[in-house]
Order: sequence, then structure tokens, then C-alpha cells
Amino acid sequence: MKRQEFRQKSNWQLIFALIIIIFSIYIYLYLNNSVEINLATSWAFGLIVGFILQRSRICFTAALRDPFLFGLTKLSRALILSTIIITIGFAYIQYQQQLGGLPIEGKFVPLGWHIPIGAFIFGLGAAVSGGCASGTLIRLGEGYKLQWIVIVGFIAGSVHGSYDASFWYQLIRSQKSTHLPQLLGWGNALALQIIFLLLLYLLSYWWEKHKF
Amino acid sequence: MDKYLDCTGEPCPLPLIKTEKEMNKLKIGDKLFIELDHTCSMTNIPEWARKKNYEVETEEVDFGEWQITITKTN
Amino acid sequence: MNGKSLLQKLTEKRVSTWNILFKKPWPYWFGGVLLAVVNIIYFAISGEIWSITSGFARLGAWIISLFGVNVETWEAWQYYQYNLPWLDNNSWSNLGIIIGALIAILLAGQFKLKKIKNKKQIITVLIGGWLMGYGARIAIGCNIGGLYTALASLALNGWLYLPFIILGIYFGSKVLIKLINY
Repeated sequence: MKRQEFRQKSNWQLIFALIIIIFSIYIYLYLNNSVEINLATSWAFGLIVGFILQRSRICFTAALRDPFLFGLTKLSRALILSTIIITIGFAYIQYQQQLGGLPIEGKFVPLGWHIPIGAFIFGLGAAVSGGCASGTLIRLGEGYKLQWIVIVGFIAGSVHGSYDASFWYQLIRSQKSTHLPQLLGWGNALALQIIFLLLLYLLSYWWEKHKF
Repeated sequence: MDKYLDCTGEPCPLPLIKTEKEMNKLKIGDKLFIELDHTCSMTNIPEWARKKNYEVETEEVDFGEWQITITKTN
Repeated sequence: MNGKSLLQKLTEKRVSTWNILFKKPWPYWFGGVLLAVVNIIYFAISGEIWSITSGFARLGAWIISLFGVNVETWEAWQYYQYNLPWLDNNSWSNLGIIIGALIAILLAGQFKLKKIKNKKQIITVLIGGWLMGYGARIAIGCNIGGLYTALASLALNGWLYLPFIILGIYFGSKVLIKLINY
């Protein structure tokens, strides 16, 4: 019977995994020694993140969709928790940057209509192609042939979007900093964001109770 | 009547949408067999079914292919 | 002794530890916590912040530059710098994520090339992928750089992004359900 047999044959997967791990370490050392340390760090970071996301089945699209489609919020709550932790960590690093007189780093995008429009289009695409950006990469690794097509479209769309940038970025309304601590002060910004995330967490918890 | 559902090759959320619809059609005591190869649905279908207090069993039938059996108990 | 030798018991214990670590999915919250910690360490030691799609834009731009298109003058690069793909942090972390997931699924013994069900799927996901790429470039960020690490950097633009990605995914899911007509 096929069902029992395949289990004994799974050793090749382990051997294959070991070969790839050794190869990955080799690439890390090569980047670290002969190219640039930061690229090696990014490579290692990617490997670890890919491993974590596959292992824990975290999918951002599902986290943003399942509460509304099925009333499931376990994954959403896990990602809210994750966002609370990362916020505290990043705030600490940014605060140190400010104390050291360095420019504060972060993903700051000037506000304007391009964000709602872009986010909406991105969401549409993520829902019909079965995965967001991180999900697409994970599924490429997991061996889904469907994602080979997604990634082709994804890269083509990215280039298309970059090419059209001069049109869309006319929608940028203000070049002011979007860094909350600069707008509200460190204490207020951090407290506001964490309280808001906690409220979202409780709301999701209550939503799931209400749905089942 | 038990029902068999082939969801191999279907990405999230399709397997769970189909499961939800089929489960609504089944009578108490009936079973739904779902065959799938999507790791994401492999976690959210059992999660959904347990929330509904249905009986769930999962079995790996091939590399990265699973069969989920849900019994409608209520 | 109830039928099992010490050796047998030890092997069983090893197998079950292996299964918990590498075979069974980790709980969501555990993955979420690890993800946050790894991101904080990455930011602290390299000064880089995780993002994905700007790497795709650079890779794609480089590919069409091979055909003689002058990509370096695009206005987009004022918002995210143009780099050659192999000198780009995002490209390396993207590749890392693919390989990391491959290692994880191989260790679980669950790897398989998974088939495509029908031709309609191909068209749908090609359009879907295109929309994702285009949308991410307009908003300057995908679900990671526009949402997760944007929120992490205490950026207001992350909060503006959140409701609209949810709306997009919601309508997209409705379209998908209509499409399969089940």
C-alpha cells in the first residue's frame, strides 16, 4: 500500500536538507569574507525567517482574511503579539539612534492617496494568488508550481509599478515625517500604538468567541 | 451520505470555503474526507472544525499530501 | 518492564522531540514571537529593515536593463535606492526565505512538487501576482515593508496601510469565490 511505503522512503529528504544547509553555510561564508558582511547577514536572516514562517505556517494574508471570512483569529492574534514585541524592540533601537545623534531609521513613506490605493490593489492580488509577498516566497520553497507563475507576475508588476512611479507619486500629499514619536513624543507614541494593538488583540479574541 | 472532496492543487482559502459549504450540507454522523496538499489549509481546516466541535482526524497520505476526515457530530 | 527496553524508550523520545521541533507545525504565537525577535536582532546588528518587494523591483529592473532599457533614471529610485540584485540586501533575504522554507519542509519530510489544478488558475494567479507587484510599488511597501516593519518602526504610514490591505484582501477573496463558482 502506497500510504505506508512512502514513510520509509523519506530519508532522501533529510539528506537533501543537509546538503542544502551545508551549501547555505558556504554561501554565507563566501558573502561574509569576499563580498560584504551585510549581504551575508541578510542571507542568514532570510534563511531563519523562511524556516520560522514555514515551521509555524504564518501567512499574513490568512491573518488579515480569516477573521472576516471564517471568524478564525488565532493567527491574527499571534501576529498582533509579534507586532507588539517588534515595536518595543525597534523603538529601543531608534531611541538609541536618536541619543547617538544618528538619523532614525525605519520604513517611513510620505503620506498620500498612493498608500490606500496601493494597499488595496496589493490586497486584491494577494487574495486571488493565494499568498502575500512572504507567503509567495515560502510557497516557492515548499514546491508549489503555482507560485512559479505568481512570482513571474509579481516581478513584472513590480517593474511596471516602479516605471509608473512618477505618475503615482504625484499623489503624495505631505513630505512630513511619519515617525509617530516625532509627532507625539516617545512616551505617547509608544503607549498609543501598544494600547491600540492590545485593543485589536482583545477585539479579535472577542470576535472569535462571538463567531463560534 | 459521506462525501469526498479533492482539494489538491488548491491554494488557501478555497479548501476551507468548500469544506464549510459541504459540512453545512451533511447530516449528523456523516463524514467529510478532504484530500489536500496546501500546508496552510492543513492547519486552518482542523482549527475551524475543532472550533465547530466536530471530530477531526488527519493523516499524511504522501509527501506533503494529507487527508482530513471531519465527522459532523452536532 | 512492560515490554519495552530502555533503548526503545530512548529512541521513541528522540523521535518525538524531532517531531515536535521539525515535523509538527509550531504554534502560531511561537512563530510570531520568534519572527519579532529575529527582526529586532537583524535591525540591531545590520541597520537593515526587512522588506521584500523593493528587491523584486530591483531584480526586474535589472532584467529589463539587459535589453537596453535605461532604468536608472526612474523616479521610483528616489524612494528606494537602485542596486544590482546581487548587491542588494532584499534580494539575498528573499532568496534566503525561499531556501529556508525549503530546508524546513525537507526536514519535515513533506517536500513535493505540487501540481497546478487547471489553466484558469494560471491566468488568475498571473494577474494576482501582477496586481501585488504593482500595488506594492504604488504604496511603497508590501505586507512586510508597508505593514509589518512599518508598524514596527512606529510609522503612521503602516496604520494607513492596514485598513486598505484588509479591504483589498476581502474583496479579492469574494472575487476568488465567484471565480471558482463552487
